[in-house]
Formats: sequence, C-alpha cells, structure tokens
Amino acid sequence: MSLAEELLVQARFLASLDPHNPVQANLRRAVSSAYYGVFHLFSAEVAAQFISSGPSGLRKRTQRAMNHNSMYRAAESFSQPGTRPRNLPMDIDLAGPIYAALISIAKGFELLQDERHTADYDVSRSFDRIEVLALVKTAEDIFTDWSQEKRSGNASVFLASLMFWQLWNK
Amino acid sequence: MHGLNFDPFVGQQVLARGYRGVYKIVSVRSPNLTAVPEGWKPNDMGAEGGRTVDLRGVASDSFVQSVPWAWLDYVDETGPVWHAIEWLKENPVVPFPDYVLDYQVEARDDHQGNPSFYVRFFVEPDDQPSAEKIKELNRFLDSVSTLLLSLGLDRWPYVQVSEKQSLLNVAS
Repeated sequence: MSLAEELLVQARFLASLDPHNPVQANLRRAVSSAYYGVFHLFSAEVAAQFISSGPSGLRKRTQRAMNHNSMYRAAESFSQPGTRPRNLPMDIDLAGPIYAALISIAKGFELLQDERHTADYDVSRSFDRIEVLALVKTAEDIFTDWSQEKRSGNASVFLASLMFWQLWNK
Repeated sequence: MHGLNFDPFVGQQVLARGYRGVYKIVSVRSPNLTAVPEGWKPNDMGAEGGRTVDLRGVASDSFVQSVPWAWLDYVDETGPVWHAIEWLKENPVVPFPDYVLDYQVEARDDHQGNPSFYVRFFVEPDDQPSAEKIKELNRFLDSVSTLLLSLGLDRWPYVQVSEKQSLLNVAS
C-alpha cells in the first residue's frame, strides 16, 4: 500500500473512532490525513510523470519539491467551469474539454487543503463526525476518480500544472 | 438556471435606505401586474409597482412595512449566494436531503488569503451516518458548489456541512 493510500485509510479510521463522543484531536487528524493522502497521491503521480528513469532518490526528491500553494492555484483553475482552465498558457493544447471528474478532483483538492488548514490551526472551529466523514469521502472519491481520469488526455496537463503553476508565466 | 433571480426573499438580512440597523425580511410582495386585485387603489402599488417587503429589525425588533425593493441593500456580499441556494431549493439538481435543516453563508478569506464564500449546511445530528448518507450528502454539496461556480462570483465558494448540534456546543 502506498503512503497516500495508508493516509486515506488512517483518515477513515480516525474519523470513525469514539462512536458516541468523537474526540476533536482524532477528527482533526482525520481531516489532515485525508488531505495529505490526496497530496501524496498527486505528488507521487507528478514525480512518476517527470522521472520515468534515473538515479535512485530522484523521484522522491521531485515529490519533496511539490508546493501546496502551487497545487492549490492549479486546482482552483481546473475547478472553474469552461473549456480550458483560467490562466493556463495558451500554447498548451488540451486534448479536449476538461471532464467533470477532473473538475471534481480539483474542487475536492482545494476544499481539503482549506479544511486541513482549519483542522491543524484554527481552534475556534469545532469539527463533527458527519463533516469529517464527508471530507474523508471527498478524498476517497478523488482516489477513485483519479484512477479513471489519469488515463485521460488532460491528466498530464493537470499533473504538470500542479508542479509548475506558479512558474508557467515567468 | 432558468428562473434564477435576485429578488428579495423572506429571511434575508438587508439594510434599508432611511432606516438604521440591519433588518430581516419577513414578507415579500411582488404583485402580478396583469391581474389587478379587487379593491386595488393606485397608492397600493407604490413607486415600484407594489414590489415591497416588510422588515423586522435584527437587533431592535422594530417593524417596518412596505419598503420598496429599490431601497434594499445586501448586508454583505453574500446576497447572490443566498439567492442561488434559494433558487436551488425550488430547482434542485440533486434533491435537498430532508435532514438538511438550515444553512449559513459567510464572506471571508480562505487560508491562502483568497476572497471566499463559506456556505455551511446544518444537518440533524447523527452519531453513525451511513456510507450511503455521506455519499448523498457529498453529491448534494457538490451540486451546490457547481451552481455557485457557474455564477462566476468574485469569491471562491467553499461548501461544507456540520451537525446543527455542534453550533449549540460552541455557543454554550
């Protein structure tokens, strides 16, 4: 099982603990794990796309170079309805329209990142189980949708965008 | 999105020209001008053809009757989101689950500092929600988020869910 999958399983486990009186720490860690599951899913996919061969450690170093903010910006752009993501350089030809599954993946990523931030830092917010289970399900849906969408023509553009979004227009 | 409009609706919080403070709309009048009611007098219609609201003060409980729509301002930027969700209630892409009790809309920045709308639906407490229920809930939340994105608003829409009870816990 990959690290990304382990984190997803951990998220579901933590969200389901304490049947009648869920503990805030577990719910918050569940949200965080759900986000990081998705983060590592895409980090690994990006690294695999760019480093198909090479010395040991290169792919892991590439994963380490992923940037939350850049990924967020790319996801925001792919979430928008329309024929092509806003601010995607015009010289990048898309294989076709952005499918609903990829839009849903991007929207889910953005939501999870924002919730992860709240879960880890904002003690004024209280989480409850239904909210956390909904977020874990969002992460699980991203895994499922990606297993199909990764074969689409626009998947490589999405992955490259996650890595390079803030560098496209230098 | 046929029929989506930005008419005022009951429960909406507004400012009214000439009145101090925040008011909540308690009734909306939008007479059908093609059908003049019995006993109608010209003055009944007002400057806007009778399109008025009645208001109750949020803090003061004062009551103001027959305020023309044109005198109303949204309390904040959340107005279009409220309208869209109210429209969605009547024109659901995915049915509103019956355990959704209420919702709130807040305009603030997200963790990246981007202007955002936070729409939070409150549902009945449930210790052990089924997988099917969570799936249905996410489908519903996604339909709301898709609608809001299609409006091209200046703020990014985050759509969330909470148990109604957790609000009470925070308040107590």
